[in-house]
Amino acid sequence: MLVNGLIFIVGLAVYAGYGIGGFVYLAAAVLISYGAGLLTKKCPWAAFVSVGLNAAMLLLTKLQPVTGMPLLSVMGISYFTLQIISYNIDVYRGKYLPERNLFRYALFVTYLPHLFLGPIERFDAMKAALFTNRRITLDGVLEGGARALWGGMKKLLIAARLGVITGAIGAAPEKYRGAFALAAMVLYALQLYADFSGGMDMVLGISQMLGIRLTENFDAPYLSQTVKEFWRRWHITLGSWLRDYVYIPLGGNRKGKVRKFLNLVITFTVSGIWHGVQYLLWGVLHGIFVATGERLKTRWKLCNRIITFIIVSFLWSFFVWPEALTALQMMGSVFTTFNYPELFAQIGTMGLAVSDWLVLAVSLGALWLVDVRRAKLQPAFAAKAPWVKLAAAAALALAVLLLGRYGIGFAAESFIYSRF
Amino acid sequence: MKQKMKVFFSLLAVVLVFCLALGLVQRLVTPKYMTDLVEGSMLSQYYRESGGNDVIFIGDCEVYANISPMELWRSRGITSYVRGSSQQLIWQSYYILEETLRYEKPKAVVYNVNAMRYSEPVSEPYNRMTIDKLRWSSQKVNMILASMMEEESFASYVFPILRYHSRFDQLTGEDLQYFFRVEDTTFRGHLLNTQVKSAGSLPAMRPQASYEFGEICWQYLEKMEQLCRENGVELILMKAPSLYPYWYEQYDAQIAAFAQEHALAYYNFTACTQQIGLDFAVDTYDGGLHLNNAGAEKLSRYFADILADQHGMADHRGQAQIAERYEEALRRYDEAKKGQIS
Amino acid sequence: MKRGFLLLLALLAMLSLCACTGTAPTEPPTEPAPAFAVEDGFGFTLSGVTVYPGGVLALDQLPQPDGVTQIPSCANQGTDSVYNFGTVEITAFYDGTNEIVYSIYILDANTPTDLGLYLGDGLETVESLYGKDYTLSDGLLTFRKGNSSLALLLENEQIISIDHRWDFE
Repeated sequence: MLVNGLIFIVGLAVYAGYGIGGFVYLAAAVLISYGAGLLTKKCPWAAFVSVGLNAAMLLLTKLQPVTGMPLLSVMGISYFTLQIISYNIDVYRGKYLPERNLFRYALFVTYLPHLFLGPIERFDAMKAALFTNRRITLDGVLEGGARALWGGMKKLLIAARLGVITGAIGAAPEKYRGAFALAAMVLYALQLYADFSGGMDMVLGISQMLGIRLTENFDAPYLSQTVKEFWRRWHITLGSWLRDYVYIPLGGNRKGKVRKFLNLVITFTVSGIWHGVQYLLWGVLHGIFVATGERLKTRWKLCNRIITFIIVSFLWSFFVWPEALTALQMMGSVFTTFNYPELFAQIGTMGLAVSDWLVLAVSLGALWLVDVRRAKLQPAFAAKAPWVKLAAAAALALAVLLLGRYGIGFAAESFIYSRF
Repeated sequence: MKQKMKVFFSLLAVVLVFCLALGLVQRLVTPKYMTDLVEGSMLSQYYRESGGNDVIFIGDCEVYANISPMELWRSRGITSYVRGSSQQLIWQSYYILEETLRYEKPKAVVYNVNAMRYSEPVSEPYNRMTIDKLRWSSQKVNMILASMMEEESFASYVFPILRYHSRFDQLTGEDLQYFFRVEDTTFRGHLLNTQVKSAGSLPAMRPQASYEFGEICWQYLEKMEQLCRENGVELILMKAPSLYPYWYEQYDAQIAAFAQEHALAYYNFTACTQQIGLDFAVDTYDGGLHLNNAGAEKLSRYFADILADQHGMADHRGQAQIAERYEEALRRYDEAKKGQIS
Repeated sequence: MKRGFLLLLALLAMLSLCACTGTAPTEPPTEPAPAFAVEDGFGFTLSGVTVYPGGVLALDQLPQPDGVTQIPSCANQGTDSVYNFGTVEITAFYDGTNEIVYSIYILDANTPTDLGLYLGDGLETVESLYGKDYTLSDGLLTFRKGNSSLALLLENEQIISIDHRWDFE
């Protein structure tokens, strides 16, 4: 109880530091949804009010770039809103009884490590994780710490470096097309995975240190053989949330093929808007590929994986070039502009030194070896002696400190001056 | 219990190995400032030579280029040291003074007032070159807090690997050669430079919107005066004779007024270059911004007479122990001059 | 005690997470501000060639300078070059590839800006040529267009200094 209390207080204090307005909104959202949960049995409409209010606020936030409406900036609204909605709907459906303890409910919503990045937890699973048979142990701290540092490695050694290239290409679409666009899509696919899953490793690792087991959010997504499978392996908790609270309520696959197709497209359109209104087309296209992707499947696993990777990478274009029209043009330019010699000649001068490419190669290799075989490696690592776990964490810490791309770079020329 | 102790010691061993590895890696990537950018190691040389100085000079590059303690010794037997660094800001000068007074109590401190024109940190690399090699003390902590720019963090001063980690692919022979070793790069704080680049055309003297020195600069000058007074040290203000950047008469007037108010001596050497005997065709290494060694020696002889005759600085050439040390240093200094000139 | 130590470690790790939230695809990437075109700034035409603060100094297109001074840079740790063309003084820094102009300072009272402002003109003339969208502090009038600015020093109701500048971020 004391530990949870500390986590709660520290979490709220940090959150308040991001803006008092957001803090007040979060508090209000917690209180409204908590109250609605308690009232649902007597007044079912209470659940709809809470869901409606929270969904409306989230939608307004996502549509703000289009409407220009002045809105409060609320950190993590994308995540905690979905958790709140799932809670109210589950209580309405009778999946579990409403939580009477305000502190327990508040901690479910405001648990800091997952407030900004997810995973998007369900109340019953989170309650068990937070309040049942939880112990802080030496092994938990060591394994969790090692995992968190592994995530840091992915973000600072891999994602930060790849971001230099994708950022340079994305910032100048008139200059970098064709082969450059393809390079940006593929590299961004790796960058986004390293960044997002690295963040997840940090969240899950730190939670593990606190004795809390959260839901895995990634499972080697680029090994998927179809786009449908991709969404079972990428941002898993978002996929399952959309399935349970959008796709199935719309009818799922129970109303015929046409309705199934429409339901999938609508579901992924919602996903697109959740990511940001400018990603609406991205969501629609994913919905189409999820619905029809089985037709692209071949007999060969490797072939399917390559096709799926290409499709997903192409669709990441909407994140590399946030203007949808530009993204489509860049996708098209891959087939019309064959400037591979220029790409190979210039990519070395786009901000990464030879040493950066070497670090990337080694760390991507390590990423491949570890993340793909996580299911086997995790128990094997857990069985190791404590000093081995600590040594792994220490090695990762040293790698991040020395090779991470962060802080003020040492550009020798910035030290050059004329004897001032 | 035995098992628990085994676990504890194995973990402790890992922690120790990690700390050692981190320390070694950190030392490797931190710039040594021994050959290329020696300005970064100048202030720390003082720790090996501290004590027994009648005069301490403090300030920016004008002080370490324009004052030669060896020449002060040679002409009037004055013992002195220059604690200067590039773009040394006045709050940095104050804390360097405070630190110096922990090591010794000179008779006089001479502060070069050029930095009064800077009321904000100018550049992060200059901060690092002034601060990095100083010994940890409350003065260093205060200096960091006063000097940090927006992109800097205190942690990066405590753990330089956070700042210099990206040097891992820019390491040179210097990083290995001076991994554990340090060498003297100055002559009692004077950076020897015998090159000659005659002064030619200079930028136009542009009128300024305001000639007022920043409030923070006055605060630290006041603190400096108070610190010297409390320690029985005479504070002397000087402006080194550089042609550029311009020392406007409005700047001079403010310092003169401060000096008068606090009964301090203030020497504006930009106004008496002829009396000093300076010839900016041969006495500067960068077209008039700084004196070269020849110019520094002229200024030092001129200033030595002032310090001896008007401020009572003693002639220590008759004291065997001090003389032996200084004459040896002088011999090396003269050799180095010959080496540079040839 | 051991649990307390482990808890402290875990809480510290939790706090460090806030420093590394990074970008997840749910927070839309910030769209880069449209790049300010140097040619939209306060240029100055010298012998038929318009020089822009922030632009590359094309010495081969300009007349021979009367004098060149190398001075340490206050802007970005390097050596600045100050070119005196008699009527104006242009200061540039070397960015590794080109000389980038960051100040065009009028020296001569008979040399106007591109819009016709002379040293010695009054505030009324300034406003008639450049408008009233300026900031005024300690007698310094500053007109801004992106990173480019025109800095005019006013003393006794007359312009005594005209500087076309490029502000570094």
